Amino acid sequence: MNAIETKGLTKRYGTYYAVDNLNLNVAKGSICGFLGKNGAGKTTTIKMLTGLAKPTSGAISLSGVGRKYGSNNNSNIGYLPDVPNFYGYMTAREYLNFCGKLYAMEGKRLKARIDDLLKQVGLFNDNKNISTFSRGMKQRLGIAQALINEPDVIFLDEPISALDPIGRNEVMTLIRSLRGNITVFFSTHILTDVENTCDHVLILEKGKVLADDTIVNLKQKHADNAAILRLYTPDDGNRFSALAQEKNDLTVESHSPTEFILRADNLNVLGKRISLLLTEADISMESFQAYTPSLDDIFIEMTGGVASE
Amino acid sequence: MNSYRVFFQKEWMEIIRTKKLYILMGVFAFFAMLSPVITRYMSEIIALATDDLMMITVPPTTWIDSWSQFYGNISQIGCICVIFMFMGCVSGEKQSGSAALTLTKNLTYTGFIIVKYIAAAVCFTFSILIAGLICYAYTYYLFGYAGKISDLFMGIAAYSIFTFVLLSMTVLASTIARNTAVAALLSFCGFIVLSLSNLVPGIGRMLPGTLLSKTVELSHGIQSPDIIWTFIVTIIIAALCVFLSIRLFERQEI
Repeated sequence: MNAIETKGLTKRYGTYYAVDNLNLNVAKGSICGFLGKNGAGKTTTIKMLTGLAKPTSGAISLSGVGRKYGSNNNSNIGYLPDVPNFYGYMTAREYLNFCGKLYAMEGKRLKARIDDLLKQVGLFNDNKNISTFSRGMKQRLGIAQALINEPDVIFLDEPISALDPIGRNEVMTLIRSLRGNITVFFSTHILTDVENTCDHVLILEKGKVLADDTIVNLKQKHADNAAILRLYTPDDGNRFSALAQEKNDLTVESHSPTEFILRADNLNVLGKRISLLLTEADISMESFQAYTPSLDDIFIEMTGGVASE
Repeated sequence: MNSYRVFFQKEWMEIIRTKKLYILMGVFAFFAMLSPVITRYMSEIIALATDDLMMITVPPTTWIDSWSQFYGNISQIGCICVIFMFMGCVSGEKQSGSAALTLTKNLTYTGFIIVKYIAAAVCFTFSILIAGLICYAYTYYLFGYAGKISDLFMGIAAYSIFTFVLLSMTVLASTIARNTAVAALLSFCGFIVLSLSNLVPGIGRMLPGTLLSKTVELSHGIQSPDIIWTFIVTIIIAALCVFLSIRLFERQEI
């Protein structure tokens, strides 16, 4: 059974489709990265999945249970919005106590759960009011409150946006530690974190799914017989660039003055030809290897590489 | 109902820690202490403020004037204070995003609005009861009589029920508005309409504004036969505002 399933999920504002016929299948216990440019429909999707926005049409099922807008049965989900705001006059412990009690958790079970979570997010000894917390501390508390009820699925909307590298690393480590136990569905713009953390990636563009696959499959699909050539100096790069322009059979994309992506039907033949060319021109090669696109490359390629308006 | 109880505890903690209760109690208690004193020494204050050539004859003041002064003060400043305290109760949480976190736990939209309203009403009731008792004690001390305790409660009840409907309108305004400034504006408009509602020809005597104008009479035991209907109509309006707030809140995407 999938942890998250949607069928034809659509959200329309007038004639504008924020989310258009979204069909999701996210496996239980996996970490799913939800990508898209600003305005692609990520937050709207998460709000529909958490019951905060009403779908125009379509169905949602979480851990096999159908979900409706405004439902107060949220026992199997956790949610962290993009800019979490807590009651600043409470301490982290008091806030988690309030959240736990809303799920009818009481007594020793709740206390133990709060202790565990505060240790896990590094706020165990923090007795200050939440209003004094840094952005990173709030984000970590946000994850703790999303986990208080031991949910099957948690939805994290850009949990690492606006965090410094240390805070980002802390939150990503925390997310990785949940693998296998809880299904994590998180949106972000930081693709290297997705690449290092997620099993599954969804790319959304203008409310439609562009990709829904594992990272390995996605990279294989986009590898398309390319190789990366690295030279030692920019001068070598300029000479190679000029040489490549004379040869009509070479498809070259320049990434940097010393780095070129080359495309060909057969990488072995390409390798031999490049080696010959460089020897003739007396250009030293640092490396030549099959090119695997990064998630950034795939994302830019799929979304057209144009920033959102 | 567990979630209602838990959310009420949170609301009460907020009222205490953000000092709303103390501010409201302080404002009401201030007027409860000041009104009898001003009334008692009115002639002396006027004499000090005028020169010997001006002859102003001030009739002797009584305990009834003390209540009149008290209700006169709190019917405006007290109500404005109530609006200021609670105008952001829903819009503030929507704006900040804390409502989204709470509503994705096991609390209904209905529970969210009802508990907000009840907590505000309890805070106000507590403040006005204490202020009423202070005013009663001061009036008794300065005038030797302050009316019957049962009449005091009738006056307080009339003012409270007017404020309950004002609170329900404030919650409604806070639900409609996207931000606290708009909620404040809508609440003040609601307050003006409520205060003037007794002037509506024909049905004015049954509308909430009448309660505000009858507080002094009720405090010294004068009851008109229609007052019970005014109470009932006012409570119905308050309930309708809360109901409307719930329905609107349920339709809003947070």
